[in-house]
Parts: sequence; C-alpha cells; structure tokens
Amino acid sequence: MRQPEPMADLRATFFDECDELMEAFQDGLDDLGRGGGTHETVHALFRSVHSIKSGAATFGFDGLTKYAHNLENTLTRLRNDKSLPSLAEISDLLRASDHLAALVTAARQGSDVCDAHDTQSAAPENARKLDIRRGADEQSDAASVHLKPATDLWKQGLSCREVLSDLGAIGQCEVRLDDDAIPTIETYDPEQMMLTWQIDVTCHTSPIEEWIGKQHAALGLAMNTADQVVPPEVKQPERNSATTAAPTPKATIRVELERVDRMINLVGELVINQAMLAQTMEGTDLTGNLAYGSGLDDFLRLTRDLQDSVMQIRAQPVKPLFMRMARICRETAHTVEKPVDLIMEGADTEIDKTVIERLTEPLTHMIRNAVDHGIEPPDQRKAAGKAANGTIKLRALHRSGQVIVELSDDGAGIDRASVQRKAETQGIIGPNARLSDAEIDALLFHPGLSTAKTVSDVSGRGVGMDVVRSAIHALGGRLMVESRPGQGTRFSIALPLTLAVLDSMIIGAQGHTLVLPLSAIRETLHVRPSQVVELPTSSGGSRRLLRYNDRVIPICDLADELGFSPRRSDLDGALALIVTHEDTATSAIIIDEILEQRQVVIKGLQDGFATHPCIAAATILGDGRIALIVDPYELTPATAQGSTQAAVPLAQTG
Amino acid sequence: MTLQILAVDDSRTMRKMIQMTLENAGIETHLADDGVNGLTALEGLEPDAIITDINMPNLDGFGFIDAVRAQDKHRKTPILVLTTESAPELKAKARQAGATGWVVKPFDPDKLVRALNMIAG
Repeated sequence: MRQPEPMADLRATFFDECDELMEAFQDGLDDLGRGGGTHETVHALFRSVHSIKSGAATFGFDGLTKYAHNLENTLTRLRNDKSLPSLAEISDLLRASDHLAALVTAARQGSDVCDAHDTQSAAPENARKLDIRRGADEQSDAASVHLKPATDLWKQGLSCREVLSDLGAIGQCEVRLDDDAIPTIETYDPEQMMLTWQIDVTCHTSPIEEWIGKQHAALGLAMNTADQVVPPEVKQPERNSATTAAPTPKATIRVELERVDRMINLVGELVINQAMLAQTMEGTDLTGNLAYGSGLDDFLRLTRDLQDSVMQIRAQPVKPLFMRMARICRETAHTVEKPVDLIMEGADTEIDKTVIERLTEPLTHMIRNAVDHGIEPPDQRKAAGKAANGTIKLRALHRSGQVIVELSDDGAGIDRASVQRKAETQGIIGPNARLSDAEIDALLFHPGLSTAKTVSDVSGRGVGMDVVRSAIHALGGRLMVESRPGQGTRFSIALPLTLAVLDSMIIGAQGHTLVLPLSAIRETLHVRPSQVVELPTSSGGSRRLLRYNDRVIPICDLADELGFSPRRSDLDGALALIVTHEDTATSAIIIDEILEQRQVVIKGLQDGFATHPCIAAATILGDGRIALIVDPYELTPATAQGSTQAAVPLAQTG
Repeated sequence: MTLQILAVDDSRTMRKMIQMTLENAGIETHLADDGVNGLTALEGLEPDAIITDINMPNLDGFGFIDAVRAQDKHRKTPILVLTTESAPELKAKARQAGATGWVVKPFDPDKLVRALNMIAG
C-alpha cells in the first residue's frame, strides 16, 4: 500500500487535520484564558495534541512526535489535576502551541526537527525543570525559584552556570543547595546532574517572570502544575447559556478551493448571461408577454440566490482572525505594561476567505496601535477617573450588504492639536490651516505621519495608518475613524461581502461605457457655472474646482483623464459624480450620462494589457461588451497625497 | 467471504489510513469518528470485527467497548484497540471492558490486517 500517491494524499490529510487541531487547541486555550473553559476544554486540548502525535508518529516525524508527546504529558498532568490551569500555565501552553505549530510547518516543508541541534527547544523533557512559587501576595518583591535541571543536562552540553548568573543579575539572590538531592556514594553517577537549588530572589516579580518566560522560550515547556497561582480576575464577554452549550457539529465536506472558485466564476458568467438575456428581450415583441416576463423574473431571482449561496461557500466566520487579534492584544498589552481587556462581538460574522486573510495584517497593526497609543497608562487612566484596565472592543457585523469590522478603545482619543502640529512641521498642511476635526483625523492616514512621542518597539515599525488604509482599499473597503477626546477612538472598516461582485454605476463618457463602484459615489449633480472655480496653474493651464457644500473639490473630466477626448471647456449643466473618501468628498467626476446601476462581475485584467492607474479591472456587460472598471480614488492626482489636500477648506483658498 | 469491519477513530488521518489499509486487503470498511457515532453506525451493521481508538471526544474507547458489549448481538464481536497508548494498566482496563486485542499506533499495515484476520477470520 505504500505507493507514493496515496501516501502524499494521506500526508496532506494529516497536515490539514493538524491545522484544524492547532486551531482547536488555541481556541481552547483562549477559552480557558477568558475563564470560559471547563475540564472538558482541557480534555479537548489533550485530544488535539494526542491526534497530532499519533499522526506524526505514523509519518515518522520524530521531532514533532517527541514534542507532542511531552506536551501531551504536561496536559495529562493538567487533566488529572482538579483545578483548571492558571493564567501563567495557559501562557506557557500558548508558547508551546506556537512551537508545535512551527514544528508542524517544518514537517510540512519536509524538515522535521529531529536529533538536530535544535532538540533543545524541540523537546521539553530536555529542559531544565523550573518551578516558580510565589507567595500569596502577587505584588511581593521576592520570588522563589526551584531549579531542578534535567539529569542529562551535561550530556546535552548545557550548564547551570549561566542560569545562576542570569538570576544573579536580576536581583539579590539567596541560593540554597537542596541537601536531600545529593546521592549516596553507591547511587552516584558522575555523568548525571543530580543537584537542585532553591533560590530566593529579591526583586520585582515581573523581571523574574520575564526571565522564566525567556527560559521557557529557549528551552521549551517546563511547567509546574503542583503550584496553582491564583489567576487575576478576567473580564468575560457576556454570553448567554445557549452559546456556552457545546454546539453540535455540522456535517461538512472538504472541497478544493480551486473548484469553489471555478464555480464562482461560472455563476459570475451566469449573472452576466442573465443580464444579456434581459437586455435582448427588451425592445422585442416579447416585452409585454406575461409568461416571458415572469419567467425572466424567476431567472433573475434564482441567479441572485445561486450567487449568494455560492458566495457563502467562500465565507468563513471571522472568529479565527479575532482569536489571533486577542492574542496580539494580550501580548502587546504585556509588552507595554498596560492592562487591557479585549471584548469581542460578532465573531460568527462571515466574510470572504480572501478578505479574512488579507485583513490580518492591517488589523494587527490597528490593535497594536490601539494598545500602544490609544489606551493611556494605568496611572493616567486613574487620574482621569477611568478604570485602570483599558478596554478594547473588536466587533464584526453585517450592515446593508457590507461587513463592518470595528475596533474601538476607551483611551484618550486622538490628540488633535498634536496631530495638526506634527502635520505642520512635516509640511503636510500649511501653517495656521483651519481644519475640521474630521480633517485632522484624516491626517492620521497620511503617509509618514506618526504621532507617538517616542517610537516604541511595538507599533513604531515604520508601517503607518496609510498602509493600513491602502490595504483596506485594495479590498474594496473603506476605513473610517471617529474620536472623542478623553473617551476613545473608533476605527470602522467597511468591506464588501465578496471580492467577485461589485455594486456599480454604469456610465457613459464620450461614447465609452465605464463602470464605477457605487460605494465611492455620494451624490450626482448638474454643475452650475457659479459653482466652478478656475485657478491658473504654473504650466499655463488652469485647474478647475467645484464648490461643494462648504468646500472646493477638484473637478476631473473622465473622458479627458482617460484620453478619450480633450477637456470640455463649458461645464454648464454637465453631470458630475461626487466621489467620497472616508466620508469626505474628494473630487467631482464629469461624465456624460448614467446608464444603469447594477451588480457586475469583476474580471481581472491580464498582465498583457497596458496598465493605467485609474483602471482597476474589467467586466462584461449585459450586451456582451467589455467595460473597464474605474478606480475613482486614483483619478485626481491630489487624492494620492491624502484626502486632506484634495479637499482644501474654503477658508484657505477662496 | 469478505470481512466487514467498523473502525472508530476521531482523527481523520487515522480513519483514512485504516480505510486504505483495510480496503487494499479487500476488507469492507465502515468508519465512525467517535464512540457515540460508532454506536450509531453499529445499529445497522453486523461487522466481523471492530477497531477502536481510546482517546476520543463524546464517548471514549473504554465507554464504547462497554456499550458494545452490553448489546447481545455484539457480545462476541472481536474488538481491536488501536491506540498510541501502551501503558499496561490501560491495556488491562480495555481488556476488562471487553477488548479482544491491542495494536499500538503507528501500526504496520500488514500486521493490522493479519491481526484482524486472526481474530475475525
């Protein structure tokens, strides 16, 4: 039976299963971390690792098997314990799960870490056994470390010396050798490590926890299950009893993504076909025919339903993404030493798989920002009359055909004076510019603007909110910010349900049919001559602006921009589309006519085509013609520099 | 006559592996992913032998063996435990529950088939 192909297939099954098991493992730990776990959760953790182990053993991934085996032993101890694991233990297990995931990835890539130089970190049983016993008082300034190195320590080329000197550097140490552990002359084996130490370190507890964490990270998992540290109170999101009950698993099948995508494409073709048919029928004798009419209506409805169902196949709950964010939030909060509670809502909300994947990076950055810059240090919070623990809320919901992901904090809010000052010094805005709050907030998305007084190693990685915004735009979404001084900041990401279909406006410009995303258009209007402001430019031409509400926005003649025809001189009565960007009007696009408003299937342009920054993709219209999809944000050069410059407040210019 | 086997294991990889092994040996294989589903599957079957894992959600191997043995028609059906566990006390516990044999994972396909033929044939 050991033919190569079935084995490869079996291996693929194993790694797929590993992914699921690792996810279940992390979910379980998160549940326990939030105080929502039970003994069954610990059992489930055990089973996940157990399944990975037995699979790994079958395929001969020795390093993975060994690590999983040791982790399984640790979990067996926990399982047999009457109490649930402490927060410190959960944190250890999280680290162990990272290592396990790394080993799974290594095995998948064909480099099973086994008997290589890395066994030290791969196999926790080789690790020195470290116990931390803390007094009942969590804040006590003394920690007692019980150091019991593995007996084969020397065989692995390790020594206790550096461990002891490391500890010595942390604080005043009182070291006691455990007399009982000294063997008699009969049992003495010179090649084995048989000593244990009791070390009392006088220092703040956090550096020693960090030190032990480092030892764990370097040496693998070595946990003390005998000593239960009372976990600090954890805030738990309200949940009703219905959700705590174990959900019954639904029957599932596994399908290659490629097949689903092929089906989505075919349904896309069907949508186009339906539109073509409807268009053909129009203007024929059949228009008034009731039977044909209702048949066509049914066809339309079924096509829509089919499209929705197919899209649902690609949709996945945002829960795994949220779980990852919870973890990042916890780690960041730990690094910057700010206690933060994360509340998650709507983790069952489903979004297209690709969108979820591409949301990870921007959301990670936003979470780090929120913890690092949004939430104030505990003493400042207390001074402002707030709870010492900051609260960050991550929420997903469906709203009018879009998915909204919100990230809010109860921090200090955006320091608008500081943002404006910074933008001035960096030459982004002119001195003494009078900006509205929304305009100042929009400056946060300007490339290169960082308001943190000191660049921290958490969020000061050179990636600004402008990159986050670009990532959201690339997904066809919008990023909005609201902030109240002293009360906090809320970022909202509005995303299309799918990347394959676009709600659009089909327009005509100089005989060409073009498609614009409906979400970008706020209003359509007929231009009156009094609304147009003409400014001469240095090159001898002129720049035309449109008075819109209490501001002026650049006018963009679409046919001219795309090279279809020269710029029209008379704008009287011309049709303009007002494009909005983060809720701020940014440009007026001049077109000839609005043809239709409907969904189109997005077809990517292949590499062979010359690229124009304003053309995002193409689609096939009802009559079979190809139309280009215009990216309105790329149309006016000013928008590339940020919305604030594109939309200059009236007071400044005219 | 072809043998008919019910295999119960919560790991998809393991189920697939057992299925491949047994079907290659011409054995008709039925699968279930935990003890409870194993019992449900058993309602419509009269297998020549049962293979079961120990660590499973909902109903573990011991509970499953116990429940199988409680049914008259399966009182004598051979049950083979297939697990990574090899502790003697667990083996004793399984035997007490009514297991016929014990094969340790990772298993040698030929050995598993031979063991099945021996207890069921």
